[in-house]
Amino acid sequence: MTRMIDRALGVLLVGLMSLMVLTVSWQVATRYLLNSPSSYTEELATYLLIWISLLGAAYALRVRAHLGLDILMRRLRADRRRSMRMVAHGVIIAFSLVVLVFGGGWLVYVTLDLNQLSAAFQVPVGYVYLALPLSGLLMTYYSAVAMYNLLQPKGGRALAAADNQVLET
Amino acid sequence: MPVTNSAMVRKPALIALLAAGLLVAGGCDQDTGTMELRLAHILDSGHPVHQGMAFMGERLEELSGGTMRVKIYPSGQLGNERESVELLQLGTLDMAKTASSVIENFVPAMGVYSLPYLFRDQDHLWQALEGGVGQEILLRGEPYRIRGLCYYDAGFRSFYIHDRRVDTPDDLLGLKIRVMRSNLSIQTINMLGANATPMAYGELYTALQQGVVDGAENNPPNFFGSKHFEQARFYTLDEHAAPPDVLLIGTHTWNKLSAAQRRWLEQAVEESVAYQRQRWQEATEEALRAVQEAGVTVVHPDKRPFQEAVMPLYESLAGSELGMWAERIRGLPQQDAAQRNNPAAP
Repeated sequence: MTRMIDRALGVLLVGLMSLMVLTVSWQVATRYLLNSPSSYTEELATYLLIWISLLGAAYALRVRAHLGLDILMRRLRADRRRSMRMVAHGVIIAFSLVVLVFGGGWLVYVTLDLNQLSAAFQVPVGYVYLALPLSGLLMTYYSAVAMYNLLQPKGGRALAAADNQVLET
Repeated sequence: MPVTNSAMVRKPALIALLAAGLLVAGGCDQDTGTMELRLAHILDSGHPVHQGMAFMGERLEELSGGTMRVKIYPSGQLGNERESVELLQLGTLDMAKTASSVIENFVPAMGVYSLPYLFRDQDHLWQALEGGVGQEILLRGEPYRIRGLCYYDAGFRSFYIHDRRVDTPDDLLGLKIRVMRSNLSIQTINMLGANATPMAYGELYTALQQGVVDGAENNPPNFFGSKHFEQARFYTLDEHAAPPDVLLIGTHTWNKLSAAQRRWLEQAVEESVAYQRQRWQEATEEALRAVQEAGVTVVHPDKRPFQEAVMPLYESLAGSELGMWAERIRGLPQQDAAQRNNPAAP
């Protein structure tokens, strides 16, 4: 299940990123080669960037690529770091649920309800904002998985060991 | 792990500092009794529209005997114009000033002001805005949780070009012109023969400098204030569009106001419009003088060829909601000196 989500998310991100590269290249091409700039590319690129950053944030959480401040972690005894990580993931889940899932979901609901349209495509902007609750759900799920893994006697220890190695270097 | 003495001492100090920070942040909240309305916009505080709203805030405080205040967040501190409209809809912001062309994506009727050559002249503009049609359109936002309070003068928009003098629409052929992110603005500019390039306002100066676009269009105070005149040496006053600025209040906030509070607010707003229009006139004259002093060539073209070029836009709107609003505005009779015959010129 987690594997499948990882894979789908990865493929989707690669697809969106490729599409954005094409869009921006097309924007430059129409501007300088065809000399008639496309009116749609800027908006499309903006919306793609929103989706890539928000879904990418969830993906980065999964592969532990986010920046972190390790001042406290470094000072803690190695065996206490696990509970510290549990707390960190708990905070991530709380933030994702409150800000992204509920806050973002409310924003999606209001913008769809009031039918705000995008300037170039004239599509409801609410669909663009769907990236917020979706990203929040993914982050909640990934943090829950990470907590579950930390609690496994074996997996948790292996994870912690790997982590400690990173911290010591 | 050895813990040094100094670290032991420092920790409580750090916590105390954090706690103090929280207290200060939390203490900023209201002293009960006065109502504070937060107003967001993207202009700098020297702009005539900002001055108009600051005046409105002062008058509101006087009229309400100090029980109502307006706190203005200028320069886009609370986000861009589209974002501040969203904040109104969500109820997290009380008031906002945005260009009518931004509201057109929320309230379709507002799009009418983005139409080219909608108004014959300055008098016609204010006759429409202050009259029945304009007031009706202000209230069109209510179902979308935004209520228009008034229009502020944002003048007429004209082309400025990096290195080419423009006298007729033919001179615009093939030029890349930056436009606002508004569907109707894009159509208008394309119809005049130029290539509309939607772009954020903040990116425009560099875009002009690097030749990403050949020019843009805006009113004189903005042309001057944005320093774009340093990069665009020709200003053609074709005055193709006049989307006004609109002061909005969220219905979340409006519905909380008592009848007296609404009256004070409406009166303060009304007085501020007169003040702002005066300031705008001064700013326009000042801007035109200043850019000419800086070496910009200001061109006064014959507007007729420009007006004819955009006529197909009106034909394509016939029968639509926007077309209906446009007809109502264009159908307003000439007010004074009605003898001067103006044959259906938009």
